[in-house]
Amino acid sequence: MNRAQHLSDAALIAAAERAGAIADPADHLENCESCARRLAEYRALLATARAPIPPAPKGLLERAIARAETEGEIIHAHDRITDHEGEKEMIPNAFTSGNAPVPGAESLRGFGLFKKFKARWLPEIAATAIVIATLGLWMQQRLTAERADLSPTLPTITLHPDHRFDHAPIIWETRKPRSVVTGPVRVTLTRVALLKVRAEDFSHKPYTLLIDGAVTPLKSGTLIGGILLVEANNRGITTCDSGWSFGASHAITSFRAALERDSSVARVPVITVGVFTAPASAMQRIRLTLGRSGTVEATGSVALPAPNSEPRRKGAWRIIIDHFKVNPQVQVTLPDNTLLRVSALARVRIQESGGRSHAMYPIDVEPPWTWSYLSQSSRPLAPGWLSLASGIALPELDAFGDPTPSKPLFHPADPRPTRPAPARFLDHVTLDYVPDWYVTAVTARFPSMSVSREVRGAGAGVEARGTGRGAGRLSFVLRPPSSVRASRLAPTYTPPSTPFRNHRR
Amino acid sequence: MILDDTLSESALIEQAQAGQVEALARLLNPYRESIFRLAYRVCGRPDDAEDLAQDALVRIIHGLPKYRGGCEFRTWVYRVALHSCLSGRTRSRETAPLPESLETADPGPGPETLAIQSDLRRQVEKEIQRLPRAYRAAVLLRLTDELSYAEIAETLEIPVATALTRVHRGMKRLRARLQPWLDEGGQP
Repeated sequence: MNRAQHLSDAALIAAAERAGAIADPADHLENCESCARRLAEYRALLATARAPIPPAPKGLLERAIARAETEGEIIHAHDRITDHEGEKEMIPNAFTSGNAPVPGAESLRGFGLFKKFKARWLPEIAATAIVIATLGLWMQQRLTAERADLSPTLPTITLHPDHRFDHAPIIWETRKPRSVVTGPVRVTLTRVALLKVRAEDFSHKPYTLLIDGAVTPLKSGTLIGGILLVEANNRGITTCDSGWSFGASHAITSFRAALERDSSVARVPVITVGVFTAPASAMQRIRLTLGRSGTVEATGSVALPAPNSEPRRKGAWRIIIDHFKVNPQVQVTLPDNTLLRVSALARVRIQESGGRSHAMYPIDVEPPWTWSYLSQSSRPLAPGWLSLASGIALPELDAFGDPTPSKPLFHPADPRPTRPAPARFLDHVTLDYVPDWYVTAVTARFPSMSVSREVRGAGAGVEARGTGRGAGRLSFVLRPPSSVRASRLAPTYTPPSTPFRNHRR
Repeated sequence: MILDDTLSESALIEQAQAGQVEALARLLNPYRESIFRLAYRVCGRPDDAEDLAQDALVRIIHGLPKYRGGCEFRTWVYRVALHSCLSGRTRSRETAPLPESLETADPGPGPETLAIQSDLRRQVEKEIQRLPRAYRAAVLLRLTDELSYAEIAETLEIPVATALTRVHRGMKRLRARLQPWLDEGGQP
């Protein structure tokens, strides 16, 4: 069909908006695949753009009116000021708006010169003063922020093992660039915590920050950070026979951010978090925002640069968590290729990602747990691995503490997890009760480990133990019962060189 | 003072201009949802939308005494709200929306479908925000409350034909930019 005979975009848009809006397009659309496809695309576009949005919050108008009243912006008719001739209406200034009489103003009424000055020049003078003050404040804030950013001193944070992340999971979905990997990626930020970091080298002006609704005084330049536990589910990488897509790769990262503004605004504006997530992925950035309304808001904005496309910034942070509270209202920055050593309270959750339910199966990893993390775009993590960057000497990593727990950690007949006595480092791994799933492999591998026992499951339960030092990996695989055979529940051991996918089934 | 329920919009405007808060609330209440929707379309995030909507309402309240009835009040409200939201959005940081937590059972589409749909929706919002300001304003008004082209023209103070052209060109650009997503079958 000749291009000139095709329906115009305007006609197709009109048709997409209202059926039958164009004159007899049916015949043409039936015969012209191109126009039909364009019409379908416009319809999809309109439907998506007009997707339902949440209703307006309650009290929105009332708050606006109250704010306008507070700010003196409701201009009453009797407060309008006119010049001598009454021709030009002037906007009342702050002294004349509202109903409250201005003390002393009455005695001056009648002096035309004062009225003229007040009406004509006072607003301009006030506006100029406001501009100058705002500019000065902004410059001061910028200087403070730059000073904080440029500070070479790294934060020192100390972990209190008793503290737990209690915040509800945050689901973050995104799609990787098609040049990197196909398919959607679901990344679950299971915990986002706000922590307070001592940074004693710069403290100029008191800041406050809203933490759990309470105003906590912080010093200017104070670094705040937190720990993100991220699990990613990447379609097509760990897919089970049942057709359910399941897989989890986990990353725990820490972040920091310098307070840049006065906390009365309750906003920490700098946020970018680098997170290791799924295999074949480059570095991902998560942007967390501090909502002005005080609600918990951590949202995902992902930019996946091509490997090595960004300038590398290297640095080493020694981070010991001092104090943190549940508060995801944090904006953080973690550049690529940053070497982190983190003592973290970890809590990993595995999310079933198919079917009709979305139960969360938690796996607790008790604190304190020290590990290192090297963010590097060109070296993604393997699927399902909680990986420690190789080549980084860890102080010590005792994966499961007790080498011979007396009871299995998981037993279908007893959903309560059995927790062995705390060990010096990583205490234990607890697999909570999973009604319809079996844990078929829990693997701990460490290059220098002397003991590496992974799985023991005979349909009745699974336990996993291991002890090691240095960099290593921890993985686990969940299977639906239909895909599990008895032989698969036998103990297995995977040497370190074996790819993860080889023991998926 | 108790207002008569049968007061016309023009009477409400007069009373609101005279400082009657109740009249002001009644006058603006019908536009509350529309303004919030507009703000949401502009910024794409509920929190920011609330802020933008509140700013827009305050600006409307502030400018109400200057309303002379030269155009439809609805059009004037949209005009003020649109300018307020568009200018307010430039001050805010760019963020992306976050879906709700999936803690509870979900009988709806699976995660992949949801991911694709929300991704497409997010992409549409992003591309709308990337449109040139003139096109964006026209497309937003068309999409938000499905204003007629005449109303869009009056709101933006442009000829009707120009409004039509801007909407169509904006939609055409959107389709071109979202072609890869539409090709992938991400229709809602």
